[in-house]
Formats: sequence, C-alpha cells, structure tokens
Amino acid sequence: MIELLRIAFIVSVVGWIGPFGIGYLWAAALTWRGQWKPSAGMTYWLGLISLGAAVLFGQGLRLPQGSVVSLTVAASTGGWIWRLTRKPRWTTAGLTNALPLLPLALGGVAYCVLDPVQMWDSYLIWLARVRLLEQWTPLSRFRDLGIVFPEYPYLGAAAWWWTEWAARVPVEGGRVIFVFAYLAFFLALLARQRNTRVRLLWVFFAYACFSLEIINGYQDGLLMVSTGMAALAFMEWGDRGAVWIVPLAAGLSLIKTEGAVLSLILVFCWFASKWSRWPTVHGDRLAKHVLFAGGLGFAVILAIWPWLQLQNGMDPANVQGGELRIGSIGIVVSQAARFPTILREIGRYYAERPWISLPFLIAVGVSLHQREILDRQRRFLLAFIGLHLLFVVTVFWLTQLPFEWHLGTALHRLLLQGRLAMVLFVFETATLRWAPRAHTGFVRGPTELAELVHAGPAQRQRTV
Amino acid sequence: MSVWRGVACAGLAIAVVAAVGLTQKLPDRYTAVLNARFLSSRDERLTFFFGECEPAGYGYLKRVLSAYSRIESSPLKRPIIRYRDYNRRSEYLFEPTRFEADPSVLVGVGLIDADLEEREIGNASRGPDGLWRFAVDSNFDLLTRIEVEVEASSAQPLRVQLYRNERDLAPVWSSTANIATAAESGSRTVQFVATPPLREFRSGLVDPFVLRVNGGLSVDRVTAYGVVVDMQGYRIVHRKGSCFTAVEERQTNRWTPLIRQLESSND
Repeated sequence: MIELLRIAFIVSVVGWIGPFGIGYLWAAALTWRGQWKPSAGMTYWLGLISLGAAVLFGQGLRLPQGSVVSLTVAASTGGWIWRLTRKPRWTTAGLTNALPLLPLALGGVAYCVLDPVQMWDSYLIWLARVRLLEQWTPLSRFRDLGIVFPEYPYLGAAAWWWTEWAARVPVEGGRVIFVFAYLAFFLALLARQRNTRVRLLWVFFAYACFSLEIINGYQDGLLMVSTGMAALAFMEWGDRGAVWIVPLAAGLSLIKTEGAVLSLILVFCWFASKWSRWPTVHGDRLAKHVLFAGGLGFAVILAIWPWLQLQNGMDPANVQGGELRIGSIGIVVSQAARFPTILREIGRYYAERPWISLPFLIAVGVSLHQREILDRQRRFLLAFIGLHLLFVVTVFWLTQLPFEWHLGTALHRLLLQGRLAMVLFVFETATLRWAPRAHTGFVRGPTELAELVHAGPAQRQRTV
Repeated sequence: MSVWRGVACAGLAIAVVAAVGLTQKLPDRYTAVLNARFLSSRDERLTFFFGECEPAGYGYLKRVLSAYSRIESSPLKRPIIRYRDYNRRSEYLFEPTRFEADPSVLVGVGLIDADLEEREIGNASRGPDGLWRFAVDSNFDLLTRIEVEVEASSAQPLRVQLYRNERDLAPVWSSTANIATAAESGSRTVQFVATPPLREFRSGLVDPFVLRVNGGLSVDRVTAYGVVVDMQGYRIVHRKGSCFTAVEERQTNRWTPLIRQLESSND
C-alpha cells in the first residue's frame, strides 16, 4: 500500500514538473512578446504538448535518447527558473478554485497506478509505442515488429513514456498526465470568468464529462482536451495570437491522424467566423505578417508526421489502415444509403448523454432565440461543432471497413473529440446570460478587453 | 470569496455523492480494489486482471519468459504467443518488452485441443447478389476446406472462388469439382479441399470473406473449415491448464533446458 502511494506521489510530481517547466517557457515567450500570460491550466497543456512533440521529433529524427532527455530536462529547468525568479502568484483563491477537482484528481491518479492495462487492440496501439520508446526503437522498425497501425502518430504516448521513464514507475502510472491534461482544461476554463453560477456549471461539467476512456491511455481523450484547449486559445488570444496558435493547432495531427482534420476545421472556423476582417488584412502589414507566419507554421507542423513517415520507409498515404481508400465514385454514391443509420446512431449517442446534449441544445436555443448576430467566439464554436459532426458523418459514409462494426467501435470515440467544444459553447452562452458585465470580471488580456463592444444592457458583442 | 468557498464545499459534496454512487456501478474488474494483497503488489494485480492462464496468460507467460530468457541471449526476442480469439499482445506487460517473435517456441494461451485441429469456422450466408459471405471474428491460421451442399440433377463442374473481401478483384483461392452423375437427383455434399491449406487465413479485422459459387446448380449451404493454431512442425512440451508451450521439432535439443525448467516449476 505504501509502495502504491509512493508510486502515485512520484509519478504525479514528475507528471507536473516536466510539462509545467516547458509550459513556463511558453508563458515567458508570450509575456516577452507583450501577449497575455496563459493561465496555469493552459500553461500545463502547452508544456505537455511541447514535451510530447519534442520526444516524437527526437525519436523520429533518430537523435540519441540521451540528447532528447537532456534537451527536455534543460527546457523544463529553464522554464522553472524563469517561473521561480518571478513573484509567486499562488493565492488562497487559486487553491480554493482547484479544490472541487481534487476528488477527481485523486481518483484519476489512483486508477492510473492501479489498473495495469486493458488488453484490446485499440488501447495497445499506444502502449506499444510507450514500450518502443523505452527501447528507443527507430520509427523505421515499427512496421517490422508487428505493432497495430504502425503509421499512427504518437505525441501523447511520447509524453506518457517521458513520465513513466522519468519517474521510474511501472508503465501504467505514466497515464497520470492524461488526468492532469483533462483537469487543466477545466482550470483554464475557470480562469476565464468569476461568476458563481457559471462556476457551479463548471464543477458539474468537470465531473459529467469525465470517463475512464479519457485517461486509460487511449488518445481520443487527449485529442478531445487538446481540441478544447486550442479552441480556448483562439478565444483568449484572438487573431494576434494566430502566429503561434495556428501552428499549435496543427500539433493535433501529431496526437492522432484525425487531429489533422480537427486542426484544419479549427483554423478554418476561427478565420471564417470573421469574414469581414479579410478585406482589411490586405492593407495591414502586421496582420499580414502574423497570418503568413502562422500559416507557414501550420503547414510545417502538419507536414512533419508525413515527412517523418517518408523518412522512415512508411507510406503516408496509408491513412488509418486505408479505411478511406475509395476505389470508385460509384462506391461513394452507393454508400449514401448509410446516412439514416449514421444519423440515428449519432442521435442515440447524444440521447444517452443528456448532461451534454441538453445544455448544449439549450445554449443553442438561447443563442439563436434573440435573432441577433452571435459574437465571434460562439460563431467559431458553433461552426466547429457543425463541421466536426460533418466530418464524423463523412468518415462513416466513406469507410471501407465493415460499416456496422466500424460505426459501433469508432463513433463514440470520434464524437468524444468534439465534446469540450460543446462545453465551451455552453459556457460562453451561460457567461453572457448570467454575468452582467459589471460583475463578470473576465480575465482577459489588454487587447481583448479593448475589443469588447456593448450591444445591450446585459448582452455583449465581442468583435475582433 | 466566502460564496466561492461554499461552491467548493458543494463541489466536494457532489463529488463524494458521485463517488458513492459510482461504486454501485463499478464493474467486477474493480471489486478486488479493496483487497490488501491486490493493493500491495503489482504482480498480484497483473495476475488478477490477466489471469494465470486465461484470459491473457500473465502467470504462465511469466514462467515461460523467465526460463526462455535464461537460454535466449537477445533481450528483445520472445516466443510466438497465440490465443484462441485474437492477439492480446500480453508481451507488452513485460519489461523489457520483447517485440521480436522467435518461431522456434510457441506459447498457447487459453487454447483447447479443438483449437489445434480442424473445426468449423462457420456457415456462409447468401446475399441478394448471389454471392456467399462469411465473417470470421477471431483469428484462424488455416483455411482447410469449403463444404458445399448442392441440389444436383446432372453431371457438371462446380467452381468455388474465395475473395478476401468485397473489394478484391482477384480470388485468393479457387477450386473446381466435377459432380458425378448420380443415380438419383438430390442433395449432394461436395468438398473443396485447399491443398496446401490457406495460411494466415484470418489475422486482422472483420471484413467478411466472399465466396463465388459457379456451376448453375442450386446451392443450399456453404461451410468453411479451418484450424485456429497451426501446430504443424511443433511438439507440445509443457501444459498447464489451457496454456501450453511447444517447440519446433527440429530444435527440440536446443530447448531441452527450457523444458526442464518448466517441468521443475510445476509445483
């Protein structure tokens, strides 16, 4: 029992220290660039994603394991030095904010160290990568070793490996980072407002949205959290943050293959949510540079995994085991008969989860009821949710795997990836309805605050 | 602040109530959580979840791998591990994980004798397009034969073509049989034996196989037969329940120490 507590403690500390250290480098860079400093939750996620990406690149580029470890430790240490040389900002209020999540955190960590593993294919995709990273097996050998779907990216598994390796604990303990990433999203969300009623909603959703499939090592949970965080980053930093948020969104493609599509949808929806801005970009040099750099970064990050695959003798065109490889247009047309089944199953999925579908539908109803143009944040989220749903429908429409089997095994996981975007939409709506501006106390950066425009006594329209 | 403290307490209370509620729904998988031995030993937990032999043979594999590693110098090699249904990849439980399968030793997990012999895979069902399909939702090493029941009234050739899935244009196997003239017309059973058997017949996803039966005859039933684990060339040297270890017959001498160690660990 004491051994178990020791493992839980050590792996939790390591699962905190590494990502936070690297996350503080992000905070330092953003502060230096005159942008708003990220919240603790966002800092953790930025660090976690960067850590996983660093390990993945290092291993994919065949750098020695020692070099990658040294670089990661140096980066994390640098971040912590920056953080510790600043005035500490831990407050009683901050700790009290985190208190309602404590049972979830403790339960999640206990699960991660207690439940060794689940022996079925989809889970083992990621466990295999952690084991291969333990041996620092070159990516070029993945195909020879008979692992499931060798062409899948593995940013989350890389961060998992780092945690279990650095903590020197059994492999399952490294999954605590997925618990912390989930909690980080809700902490980042909480940092956006201080209204009591909205905070009650926050506690409810933190527990209601939780399920073991988010933390059991499966990567859909991390993709869900990362999609939510990327959406949150767009909403927090706006267009001025595009130079780093857009490439960051492309990082979703390193977690799972469908992350590439999610990042494209996110970026498209953010810029499409403000079409009227485009004509002004042409004459704005700074905006042009920001968009160019962001777009270039997006393309580069998106190309990294296919490029690594090519370098290591894999076929980047073999997406998801070739499940979407269509032989002829006739197949596409003939498979249109699947639509009713797909829509029925999606309906069933949400009917079984009224705790998310009802608040979301109410939020949509409330948002559209007044027939006003929605603020940019909600336009962005609503467009993302709609296009994500379209993406899910398209996957099952075109799949060349046995339809019923694929629908039964993958639909819930694909829908999970968009869940936190729905939560964000509910929060945005609730905040606007329940928090008159005088009492809202939004924690926003100076550029964002300057962009608030009133559109009524209890309504706000935010434009960028 | 005091309001928020109240919210925090309410959150904690909700969490406690939710946790108590959840314990009512905990799957059997977690009932052992309250067992002190389970909590104190990772080995106990692995044995609890993956079993001595079934479902994933953790205990038995541990014994075999310990003995195997004393003989095989490479830390990355392991025996081939076979299961009744699908590959559970129990080797990932062990550290270091031995990714390289060594075909000279085979460990069977949860296998009975019937899995090592020819058995019925299943009956095919006829689609509206006239093609026969049969789904195989677990792994089979070999397809040995197809049995076709036809209504025959005259002597004519009957041809069977097997496709991996709907999309394949070329059959993986085809066979023709001549139905001899019978004294009386009626139901006849025709065997199409695959010589040699089709290897690695099913080791992937559950795409149904497709059978095209040509010959202008009325086909009543199509049945496929195969072997779950092909033991040809292997000799079983140790058994424990439904788990066993087999070695390649031509390498029996090399693995004699392994056999002795397994036998000595029977107690």
